[in-house]
This record gives sequence, C-alpha cells and structure tokens, in this order.
Amino acid sequence: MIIRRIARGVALLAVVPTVASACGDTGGGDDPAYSIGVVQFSSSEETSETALRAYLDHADDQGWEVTKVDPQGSVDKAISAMNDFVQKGVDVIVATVFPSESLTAGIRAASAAGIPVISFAGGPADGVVVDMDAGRPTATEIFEMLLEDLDGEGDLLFFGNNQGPPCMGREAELMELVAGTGIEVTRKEVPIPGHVEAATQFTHAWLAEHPAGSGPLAVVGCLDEAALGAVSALRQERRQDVLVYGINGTSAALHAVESGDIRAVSFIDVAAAGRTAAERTPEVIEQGTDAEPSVIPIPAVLVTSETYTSFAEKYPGAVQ
Amino acid sequence: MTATTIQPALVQQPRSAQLWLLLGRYGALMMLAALVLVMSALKPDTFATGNNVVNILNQSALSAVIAMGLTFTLVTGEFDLSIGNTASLAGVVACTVIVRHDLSIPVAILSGILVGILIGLLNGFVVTVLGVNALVATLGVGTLAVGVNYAIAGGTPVSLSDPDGFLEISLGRFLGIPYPVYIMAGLALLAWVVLNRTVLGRSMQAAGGNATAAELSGIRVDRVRVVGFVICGALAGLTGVLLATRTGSAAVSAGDTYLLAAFAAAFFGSAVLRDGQFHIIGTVIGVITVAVGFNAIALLGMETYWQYFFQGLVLIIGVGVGTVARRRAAK
Repeated sequence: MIIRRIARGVALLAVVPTVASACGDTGGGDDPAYSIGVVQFSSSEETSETALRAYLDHADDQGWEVTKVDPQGSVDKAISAMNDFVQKGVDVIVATVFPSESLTAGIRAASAAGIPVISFAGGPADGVVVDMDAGRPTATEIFEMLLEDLDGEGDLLFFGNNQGPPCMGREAELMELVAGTGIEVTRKEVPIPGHVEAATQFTHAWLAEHPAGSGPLAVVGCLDEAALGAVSALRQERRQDVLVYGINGTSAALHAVESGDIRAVSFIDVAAAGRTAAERTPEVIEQGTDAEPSVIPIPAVLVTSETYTSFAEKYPGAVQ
Repeated sequence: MTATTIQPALVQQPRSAQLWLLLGRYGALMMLAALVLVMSALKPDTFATGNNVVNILNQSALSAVIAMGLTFTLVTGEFDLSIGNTASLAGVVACTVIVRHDLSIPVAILSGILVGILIGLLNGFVVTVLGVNALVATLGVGTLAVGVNYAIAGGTPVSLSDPDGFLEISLGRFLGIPYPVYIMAGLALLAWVVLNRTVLGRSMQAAGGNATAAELSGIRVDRVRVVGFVICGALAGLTGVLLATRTGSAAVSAGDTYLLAAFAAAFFGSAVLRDGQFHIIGTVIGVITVAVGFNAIALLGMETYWQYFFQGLVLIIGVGVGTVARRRAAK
C-alpha cells in the first residue's frame, strides 16, 4: 500500500513532461518541418510577445515545430535555453529583447553547432544573422513631432532604460534631435519591471519643480509603460499642461491617446516584424551561420488623437 | 519510585513508519530519478547523451554556487535576501575594474568576490550588532547594493571591448567539461567539508538548530552567523562574476533572478536525504533537479506554462512529500 503511494507520488512529477509532450505536439503538414527554438524575454512583456505570436502563427501555418522557453528576464536562463536548443538540434534560434551581446555564450554555442540566430530588438552581434531593429527608426517621427509641438523650447522629462537596445537607440535619437535646441532634458532611468511606478514617482517630483505655466512641458517614455506612469501622476495632480509621448503602441497607451491623456504614440508594428522574421526563416536556415548579417527596421506608425480612428480601423487588434 | 529509561535504539519502529521515513529522505531523489528515467525513454537521442549531461551541469553551475552560499546562511537560522543584488553588483564591479581601470582578470574576479564579502559583513553587522531582523536587514542592504550598482554603471550594461579572455572562464573546457562545472564541484566539496567536518560548520548547525543551547555550550553564535553571511556574500559575488564571464558584460540587474531560484533550490534540498535540514548536497540536487526539468521542457517542446507548473510542483512535491512523510513516520 505504502509502496504504491510512494510510487504514485514520485511518478507524478515525472508524468508532467510525458502528458505535456503529448499536449504540446504541434503536428505539422506534409512539408518538411523546421524545428525552431524561441527564447522569450518574459511572457508578461506585451510587445515582444505580440511579435512572437505573429511569428508563431506563421510557423504554425507552415507546420514548423516551435519550442518556446521563458527565461523570465534572466540572461543566464536565456543562455541555458539556447544551449538546450543546441542539444535539441533546432534549425534556428529566435531570441527576443535580450541584448545580443549579453547572450554571447548562447550565441557562440549556437554558431559552433551551425545554428543561426534571429534577434527581435536585441541588436547586432556575431552569430546574429537577422536583427529586427526596434530602436532609433521607431522614434524619429514622434520625436520630430515633439520638437514641433514644443517649438524648440521648454522642459522635457525623459524616461530611459539602459538595459535594452530599443530604449538605448530611442534615447540616442532623441538626444541627437534636441541637441542645439532650447529644450532642457531631465533624464531618469526607469527599472524594468517597475517602470510604471518609477515613472509616476519621478513625474510627481518633476512636476513639483515645473508648476503649471512654467513653460512648454513634455514627458517622453522610451516605452509606453513609462508614459502611462507619467499620465497617472498628471491625473493625480490634475495637470493638463504637459504633453506626453510614448513608444511601442500597447493597447493601454493607444486608448490614452484616444482619450487625450497622451499626445502621441509611435506604434511599432511588431506583428508585421514577427511575420517578416518568420517569412525570412527558411532563407536564414538555408544560409546558416554564414549568412550576411542584416538589420531590418521594424515599421512604426505615428498615432495621435486625430489619427486614432483611422488607425483603429486599420489595426483593430492593436486597440483591443 | 524508579524511573525507566527506554533506549531509542531498542524501540522498534513499525514497518510503515520506516517506509515513510524512507520516502521522506529519498522521495525527492526518487522524483529526480523518475524524471531522468522518463526523459531518457522519451528522448534517448537528445536527453540521455553525454553532451546533454554536461549541458545540464553547466546550466546548474552558477545557480548551485549562489544557492550553496545561501545554504550557509540558512543553516545558521538566518535569511539573505540580498544575494541577487550582490551578484549583480559583483558582476558590474568586476567588469568595471577591467573596462575603466584596465586591471587584470584575476583582480576583477577578486574584486567581485570582495564586494560579496563586504556585503556579507554589512549584513552580519546589521543583523547581529544592530539586532535587525535578517529579512529586513538583507532587504535593506540589497537595496543599497542596487543603488551602488546604478551609481557605478548608471544603469548601462558594462561591456568588455575584448571579452575573449574573460569569456574563456565560462566557455573554456577541460576534458570536454566546462570550467564552471569544475568550479561547482570543487566548491560543493569544500562547502560540504566546511559544514560537516569542521568546528565552524558544526557550530553553524548548532546555532541554527538551537541558538540558546549553542550559546550555552560556548559557541559564539553571532560570530558564526556573521561568517555565514560572509560566505553567502562571497559566493553570491563569485556567481555574479561568473555570470559576467558568460556574457562578456554585466547588466545592473543580471543576477537579481537568482534570489528566488536559490531559495527554491535550498528548500527543495532540505527535503533530500535529511529531515528538513539545509545541507549542501541537497541544495546541489535541488538546483540540478530544476535544471533537468527545464532541459526536459525545452527538449520536449512543451509550452511555456509548463515551466511554471514544474517550478511550483517541484517545490511543493519535493518539500511537501518529505514533510508529510516525516509526520506520518512520527505517528
């Protein structure tokens, strides 16, 4: 009796992968199926997950076998996942958001095994044959609009994050554009996770130094979440004299544009980027690690309260 | 009136109690063995290979090092919530001394470990001298470490311009086995000897078991606890440096995620071989069990949510079965 209970208890955990492997069978069509290893950044990171969903939809249509691992933001776990994919013998590894240079050990292991790496917004590096760039190109239009709105004068609170290439690229673009203007930039680093709360706190402090009527004022978040944090502070202080700008185009930020809380958002069409990456996958696999590295800018769409309706008609999924 | 003493050795335990004891001590190991057997049957070509065993051990190495350090603190009856922040700071300091001060790799490694030792000392001071609860003290010190980290790096990853020598520490191999595996094995042996075969280690166990009794038997409990924090900090620092050698750079929050993983491994390990006591072998087995599970999930191509199921189940079943078994055995 007890022996049976013991056997049942210890077998329970072992059964998990068995059952799950049956549940996770992706099936596949008649075409030869590629095996793809996907290293997520974090399941809760909306933008990269949207890109991956588009990639996975295409992969599913093609009957490719896809394995996803969620390293929960941990570089070490991401490298471990890449090594697991090397053991599995996948045809290509897709990594998201993690700076490519921080995945060196994993990328080198993949390269040594002849497995090419596609990066979503991780930046170029040896072994990365395709990088989907979500940095500078996505910020140019919205920052030009910001300069126009402020007419080259005023105070700007900028929320940056130096741990991810997209934010770093966007910040570089902003600093280049405001250089030589009369705009005074206060830059604050926001940690991720925790960027919404941090942005709210920083905005409260900045607003105290910049009372209503003290000149043209604006807040820019290198990510929408930081911009939404600023909106929260502005609502609490009932301030309506500060323009807010965000980048990425999460549904919450887009709705804030619709309601007028955010002046503009640069919507990054990550779903299109996901599809593009998926469509290029066969070519990448064919060329392997010898492929000429390429950087593909992710397309961006500027959304304001004036253009929101037409945008929502064109991208209904984005505002859901 | 006469007193009758029953010699424990003469007490015959019922067969059921013996079996429950067996389950309590070996249940977690049996779970790992079952996992390995099932995976070997399902994926004989990819899981049950020498390369994959090395891969799993390599993946376990850093988590094992930091979790072994944490075990010293837990053995003394304390907690350390600053280990993740310590690892992050140590990695940033190690890379910074190379990038900004052009110092050698050994100096960089020692700098990272020194950072850990200093944080351990500070933790020990706040807990034993100021009398602050370890949870609060280490949370505070860990937050200070985050502040220092941002002050040094400004939030930006510190990347080496020529990382090859540094990367060799993680990527290099001897007899086909990566160096971090040797580091893990060597430290596990050393930590086991310290905890089980030295006066210091036994004092730590005594302090953690019953601080008052230990104090009365002449053990300087506070000093022992400080040493526990220092060892924990040093190994967290080493982990941060090793993590930086995997990437050739150090990010300000790179090591933060080790905190929960290390605690989970140590608590799972407490259910291995011993009756709910923290010990080095158990901790290492805990880390390896999680690594085997993650490796299995990746090789089987399972959905992401299974990772979370596995993480939760391994802790609940590993520790829960041991607890229930011991309770049943005591009846």
